[in-house]
Amino acid sequence: MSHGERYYFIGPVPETPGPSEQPGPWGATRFVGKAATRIDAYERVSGAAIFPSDLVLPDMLHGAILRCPHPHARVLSVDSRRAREMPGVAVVLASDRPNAGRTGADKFLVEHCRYEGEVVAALAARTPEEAQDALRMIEVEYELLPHLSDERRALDPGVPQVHSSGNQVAPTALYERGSIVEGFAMADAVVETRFDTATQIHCAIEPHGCVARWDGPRLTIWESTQGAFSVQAGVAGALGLPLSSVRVIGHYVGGGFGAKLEAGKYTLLAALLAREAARPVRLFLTREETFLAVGNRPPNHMRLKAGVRRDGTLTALDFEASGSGGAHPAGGVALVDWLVRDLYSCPNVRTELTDLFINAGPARPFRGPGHPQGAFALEQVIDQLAEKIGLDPLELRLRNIPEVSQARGGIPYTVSGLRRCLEEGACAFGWKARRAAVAAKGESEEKGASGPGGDHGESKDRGASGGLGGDHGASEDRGVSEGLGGDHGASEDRGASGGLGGGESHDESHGQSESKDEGASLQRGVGLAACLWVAGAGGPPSTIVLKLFADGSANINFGASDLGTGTKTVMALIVQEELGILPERVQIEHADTGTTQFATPSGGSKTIPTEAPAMRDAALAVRRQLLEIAAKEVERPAKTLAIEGDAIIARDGSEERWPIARLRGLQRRGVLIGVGYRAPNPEGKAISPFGAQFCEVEANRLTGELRVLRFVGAHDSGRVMNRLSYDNQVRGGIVMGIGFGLSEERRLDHGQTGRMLNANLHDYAIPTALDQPEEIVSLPIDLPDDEANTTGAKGLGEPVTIPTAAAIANAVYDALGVRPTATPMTPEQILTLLRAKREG
Amino acid sequence: MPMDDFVFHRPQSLPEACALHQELGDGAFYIAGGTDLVTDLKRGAKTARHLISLSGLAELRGIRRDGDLVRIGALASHAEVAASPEVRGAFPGLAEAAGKLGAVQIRNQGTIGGNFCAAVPCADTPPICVAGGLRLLLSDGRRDRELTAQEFFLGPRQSALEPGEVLREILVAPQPANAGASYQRFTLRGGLALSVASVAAWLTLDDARIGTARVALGAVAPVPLLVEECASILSGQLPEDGVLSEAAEASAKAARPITDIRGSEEYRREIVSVMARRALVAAIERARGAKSYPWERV
Repeated sequence: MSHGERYYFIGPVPETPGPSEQPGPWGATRFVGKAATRIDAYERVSGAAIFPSDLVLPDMLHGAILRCPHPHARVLSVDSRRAREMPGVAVVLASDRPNAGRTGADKFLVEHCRYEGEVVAALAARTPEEAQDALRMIEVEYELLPHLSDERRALDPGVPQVHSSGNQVAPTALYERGSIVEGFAMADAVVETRFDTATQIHCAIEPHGCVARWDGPRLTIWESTQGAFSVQAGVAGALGLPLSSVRVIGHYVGGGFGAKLEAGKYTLLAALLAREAARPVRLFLTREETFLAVGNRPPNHMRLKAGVRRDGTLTALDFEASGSGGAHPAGGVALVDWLVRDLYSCPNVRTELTDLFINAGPARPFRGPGHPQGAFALEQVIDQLAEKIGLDPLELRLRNIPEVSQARGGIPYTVSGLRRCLEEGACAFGWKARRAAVAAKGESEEKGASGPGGDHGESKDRGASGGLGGDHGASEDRGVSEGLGGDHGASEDRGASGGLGGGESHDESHGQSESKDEGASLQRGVGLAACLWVAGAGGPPSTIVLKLFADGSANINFGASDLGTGTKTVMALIVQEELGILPERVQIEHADTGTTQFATPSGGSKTIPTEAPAMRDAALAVRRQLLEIAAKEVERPAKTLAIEGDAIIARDGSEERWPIARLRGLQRRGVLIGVGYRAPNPEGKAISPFGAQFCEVEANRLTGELRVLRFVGAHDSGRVMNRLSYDNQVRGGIVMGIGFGLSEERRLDHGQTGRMLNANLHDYAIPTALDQPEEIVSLPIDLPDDEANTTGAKGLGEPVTIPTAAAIANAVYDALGVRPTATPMTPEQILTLLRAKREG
Repeated sequence: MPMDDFVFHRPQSLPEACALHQELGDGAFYIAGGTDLVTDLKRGAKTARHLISLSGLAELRGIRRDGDLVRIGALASHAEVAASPEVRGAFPGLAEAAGKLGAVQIRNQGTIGGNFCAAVPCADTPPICVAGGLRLLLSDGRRDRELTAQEFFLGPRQSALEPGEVLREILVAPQPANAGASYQRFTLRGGLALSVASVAAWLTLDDARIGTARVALGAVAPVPLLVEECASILSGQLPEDGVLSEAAEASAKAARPITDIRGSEEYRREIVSVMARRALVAAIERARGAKSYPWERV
């Protein structure tokens, strides 16, 4: 991506002045990187934290949105008279109102509805229930239009057209380097496979929404958002207000994952309803609406052909993908090919991306946009190549690690930890021992023919060699933690089933017939996948203000959101690192356009690498001033002084101390203010986080169930800023990746109503606590990237979910000898693959 | 999600509740835990003008021993049934089924009576009761009547309850010492999931041979389905691999599944076969005295 352009920000990104000094990198740190409890842990755990959806204002009304229930329809007429007469209703925004134009609502109300969930009308009432009741009283006459819900059919002749211009969003995008024809000619082995990934919904715990309040011409919005300033700009632009009239506050956000980077239509409707009603309006979407209208990871259909030489050199990658961001342009294939272009050294690469329209809700950036889909294809094909040339999949990857970003014109990476992620992750996982055990048993040829006895032996090997592996004999205790698709009692019974027929049929299982014995039908496999993340470097602008009060306590003021990743805590740790101020003596003010400085939305795994260097700069600015004041007062040169806890100390070994709170200069000033800026990234260098994940899966040949037993996530995200939240990110990303891989899928009623069949948290299956692996090991590859920025940090939030599904798929192949090429990898898919394999 | 207005009634006795229901007629629904009814009302699948809460009815509460019977009040929550020493002692397969259902919150809120009365094909507690040959006590407020669990179910969301009639108790008759049971369900995730298919098995072992055997299926037919063929396949046989496979195949054949978002017809049949085998294996072990219920293993 070129300078001044980011997927999480529309238009050129503003720049800030350079920092006041370019400090050297931290060497060893005392506070940064240690496991620090979140500074708002108490608020979060006790419920004292006020999320936007918790807010209650005097006289507040409750807004609700009427959405089109059809995938494709034209609104012929709207009659909201009955709704306006319903009890408690204060204001209705509908196209039949004589003043719809005057309120400014008309441009948000859709007449030609192209997906289930387009906004048709909105209203506000005294209670949420009254609002919902009134919504049902709005009579809408629709003309149903033919719809298209399956993007795989979008270019078939005669299918319904989503737009008059056709079903293709833009001309197919082509990327090419080298010559794939020559590349394939050089290859000793070639594989070609098709992959399909399903639509995943963000499912943030807090739905999208806001509370809007007007004070005369000024609007305040409390929004569940990743970017208070982007909401401010969106609202001000849409309503024609100066930025100074729109204050957006987003102190807490109950999850965003990319779907809350900007103002929603709901934000604008809340503002209009509040203005019409002259009362504050709370408008949060229902869970069902969040499934339909505010974002998803788009479905992708991919074909990847790859060539390799016997020595493991990749010679060609030919990738083709289509996808759909829904009924309006929304990046249906965005970044799907990035890993193919850039993860491994390959001189000959061609990618072709086709973005299509369907009558379905919009895609939004979702935790590593495009990357988990692309990884699902690339990382399985790499395994297929490895098998073809008889190389360990780990080894094949190690032989193709690039020093430069080939897709960015061949500029070198500041730091690439890919090799170390693979090597150290493999070591922690016990990869080599596991592969050796498989090879020793000659299992690789006849996968699926052996019983579970060998697997238990292997788990012992692993325990001995891996060290981190822990005791995987714990699988006997399966009843305690159920696997995805698993089932409590079933696993307990499996554990106990040895007594009956287990022994006999175990022997039979080596014969030609499929064993019906449950014990013998369980098979384990291991898999790995690697990744990088295209963004994650961060960059300007960032402006952070640090105020040191007269008693030596401080206030940090920055505009970025902490979307649950622990940004605030990292900021406090940086201040502690530079100034010694304890986090409990720091007040944090952030994500408020009225009181903090402009920041880009927290997304793209760039919040820490963007904000942390500016925070450090602000802390250094305060330190300079403080030491100057102290130098005058104690009559020593500033450079002989340092800050230690709440005192100035002499660096000459004399152990002299002067408490900061007693510095007269500071007392007179009352406050020292340091302003920190983010310096630009180094020219001509590529900055990316890298990672590799390893997993062990247990598959049941009879039911197709997959249980993920354990994961190791080895990630290079530069310097670890807070080990505790780092590990949490790794675990959370892997769990989200497991959902993407195994169970999550937007189901549209293809060929019939075209509506979403599982727009609720019961039928749309995100993993529950019972679906977690027993063990997820986070292994930070702590490689401070000192060239990237002054804190050495790169992004972590997204890479941690990119390789997960691919690693599981590779483990499934290792276990069963069949390759799941579609997400979610349901038990039914696995069973179908096994049957196909049996029947040849 | 909107709901239509309704009047909420809180009768304090069974006769009062039944009289109220008869008086209010159509549009009146009994409500206990509400885990099924409220979602139906919210999505507009049902429209209620009156909700008659059963929660105040002492007659429907509690799980108690009455001579050699165990009476499970219809208002007992799944969590109560799962943890009840009486149920675990008298008919542990039901405690097992109740403990697997839904999720923790659903098990705390939902009642066993509701699980029966909603008559949803994928309900988790009916199959084991059908397999175990349990009887149900119904009441219209004036007189009680008994039905077998199997007779209770007429079709999807259709039960033998007359208008205004209430399921009062589930009756657990004493089980032979050589009996064993198991309920096996297959779900697409670990918690908060409906069964794709489920199988309950109940049998006795006379010496080494299977005596009586009953297999009932859930989620694969309009009602909890007793697989008649299994009785003859299993009775009098040694519990060997071939026999179990035959019973599992008969179960899969008897199933009449539909295709929906949880699984295709074909897949469900395959799962029935695996679950049937699992259930039979576990039931046989338990008939032999194996301590394999979750609460017995801790």
